[in-house]
Amino acid sequence: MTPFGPGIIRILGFPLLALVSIAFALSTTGSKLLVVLDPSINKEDYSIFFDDLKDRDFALDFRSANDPHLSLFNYGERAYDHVILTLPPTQKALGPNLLAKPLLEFMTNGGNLLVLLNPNEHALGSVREFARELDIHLPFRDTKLVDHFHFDTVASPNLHDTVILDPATSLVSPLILQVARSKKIVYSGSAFALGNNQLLFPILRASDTAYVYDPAEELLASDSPFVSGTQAYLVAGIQARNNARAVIVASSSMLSNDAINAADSANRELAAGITKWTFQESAVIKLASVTHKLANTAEENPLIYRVKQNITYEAEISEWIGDKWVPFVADDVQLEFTMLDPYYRLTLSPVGANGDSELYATTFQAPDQHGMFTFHLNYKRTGLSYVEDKRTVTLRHFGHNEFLRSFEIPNAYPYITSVVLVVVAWLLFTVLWVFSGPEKVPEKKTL
Amino acid sequence: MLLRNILVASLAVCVSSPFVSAWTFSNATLAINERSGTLETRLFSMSVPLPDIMSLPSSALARLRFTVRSDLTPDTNNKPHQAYAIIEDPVTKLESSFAVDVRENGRARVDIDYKTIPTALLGPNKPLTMTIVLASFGTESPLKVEIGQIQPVYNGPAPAGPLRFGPKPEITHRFRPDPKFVSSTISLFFSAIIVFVAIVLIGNWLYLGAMPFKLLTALASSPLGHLGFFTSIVAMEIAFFKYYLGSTIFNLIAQVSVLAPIAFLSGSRALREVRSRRLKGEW
Repeated sequence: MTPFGPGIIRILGFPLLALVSIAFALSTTGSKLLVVLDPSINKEDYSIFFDDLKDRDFALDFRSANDPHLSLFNYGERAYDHVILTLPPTQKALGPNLLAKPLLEFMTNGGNLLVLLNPNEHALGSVREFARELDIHLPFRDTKLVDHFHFDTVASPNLHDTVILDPATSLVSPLILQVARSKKIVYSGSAFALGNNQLLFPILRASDTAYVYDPAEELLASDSPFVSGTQAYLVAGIQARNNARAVIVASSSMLSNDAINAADSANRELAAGITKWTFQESAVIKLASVTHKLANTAEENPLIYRVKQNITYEAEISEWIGDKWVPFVADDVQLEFTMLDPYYRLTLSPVGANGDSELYATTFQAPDQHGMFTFHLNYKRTGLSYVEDKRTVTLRHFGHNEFLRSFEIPNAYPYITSVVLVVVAWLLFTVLWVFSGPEKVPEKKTL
Repeated sequence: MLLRNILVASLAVCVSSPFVSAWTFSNATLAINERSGTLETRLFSMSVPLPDIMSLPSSALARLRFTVRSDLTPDTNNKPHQAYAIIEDPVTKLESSFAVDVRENGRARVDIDYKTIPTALLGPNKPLTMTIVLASFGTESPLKVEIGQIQPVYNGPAPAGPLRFGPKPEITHRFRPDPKFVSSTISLFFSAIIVFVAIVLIGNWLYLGAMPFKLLTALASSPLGHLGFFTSIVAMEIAFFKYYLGSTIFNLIAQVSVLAPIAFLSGSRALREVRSRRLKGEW
């Protein structure tokens, strides 16, 4: 049931995530990481970013975007567990093995993807197509995100295109990805718009006074921004239904050494948080086991239950914390007992830790409708791995000997007395009939 | 590199304040216009927002007019790069911005048409805050000021939001009601009527003279037959009664297969004795 491939297993739990910046953490998917480098990017400018990845035991393989021997697949299996893709300025420079379709197949095969858009040329057709599959709408070429209210006064005093973001308002899911609140995030590039797909996991958005404009068209006044305010997203991810994750970062310069070394910059922590989420080191949960049984009995997972019996359902969920699985506690795990429609939707309450997982249980009475019912545990929350389990059981009718007896039903008392009286009267009649005779034998009269 | 890092040591964040901003606006009015004419007009200013919540009917638009001025370059350029009117739902923090058309002389206008308000911002009893943002490149400090609240009239149910993961409402199955039984008293009353009828019947038999007068003589002449017969039929009734209470059909068949031959044989002996009495005239 777990979609994770072989690999060293470690976990990263969210309460620890805020404190862990360069901690020991391994991915549940594997450690083979491909970095596709656009030749126009200098690897040394991102040395801190790549060194942090190496510290987390990833085996980095640096290749150029137009390398003809580069393939994400090897004899039908994926050759890497994760890919960091930086984009060259032109579509031709991106080889045929990195177009939208191979990237989507890579995700279908369980691989994780981190796409870093070029700050200026974010318009490659294949990437735009790939992003559209994820319901992410990339900006046009040469557009820039500006914020006249929160900008770096030293780096861009007039153009306002190096933007300062406050983690308190710009991080969309602080429970899953958090940085120190006292620091700021430095950003320079463009921003994209998101659709309403529920699989999307937005990570970082612009402040409400920012907007994206095209310097070529809107030099005098911004009258039709591509996206503005908090609808402009800088980092957003998607977790597919097979739990593969992809994240698009609207500008690779956010992860460069310059941005990381800026004073008070939280970019390094943010980069660690983004890569940990993307490469399945954090916010990963799994279903350790599921059992259902008749309440207060020992036999587990029978195939047949009877209408109106009390059934206990237990599930165990674990969470990955860097290097091991630990119990995952939540208060909104729900179970549906379904036949076409849910007859029950109950919240499983966490009972206690059981080894490396948390036990959730509930007991309910089987409905009075017979049929084939499914125990459907569907725990999908934005940012966490999806957990889904379906078990089908039969719910049979009452057996002929499981109904109330007639003597337990007051309505039947007259009929029972009649039957009993008939039996008694018949026996009495037989006695009277067999042993009847004249009391005194009439004497024979003799003449 | 190092020098630049030192220079970047303080990342200054500009905070807008309506009183020290280089961008200002004046002569501001908000008019709610419908096809038939203007419904109402209000004045506002940078320091005095609109006093009440303006209501925007579904066929109307809100027309904002004001004059923009840049304190730094009032003669050459009164046109900020960013001139937006932003409407925001203070509860969900969703916002939508409308670009303001600013002319060279500073006159600015923007229409917030009911039809262009995104449905996510509509709903019953959801006033939206209106903010004007004026900002541009360069070093002039920008302006962001809330000018009032507007409530687009919406009478239907709140529009359904997009699909999102999350817990769904709990469902508990409602069982069919248990069958209702009549009270024991009424039932026993009817049972009593039946018992009464049975007593009347047996009483009538006795009244008509049915008495086992020949019991002793019959038993004396054929003890095995009569005793055997009667014990076997009573035993059969007991066997059926136990079957009613829960023994299996196989137990019943076993017991009946033992009792039936006994009843048959002893019964025929008993009837032979009765025949002898009948022939003698004593039955």
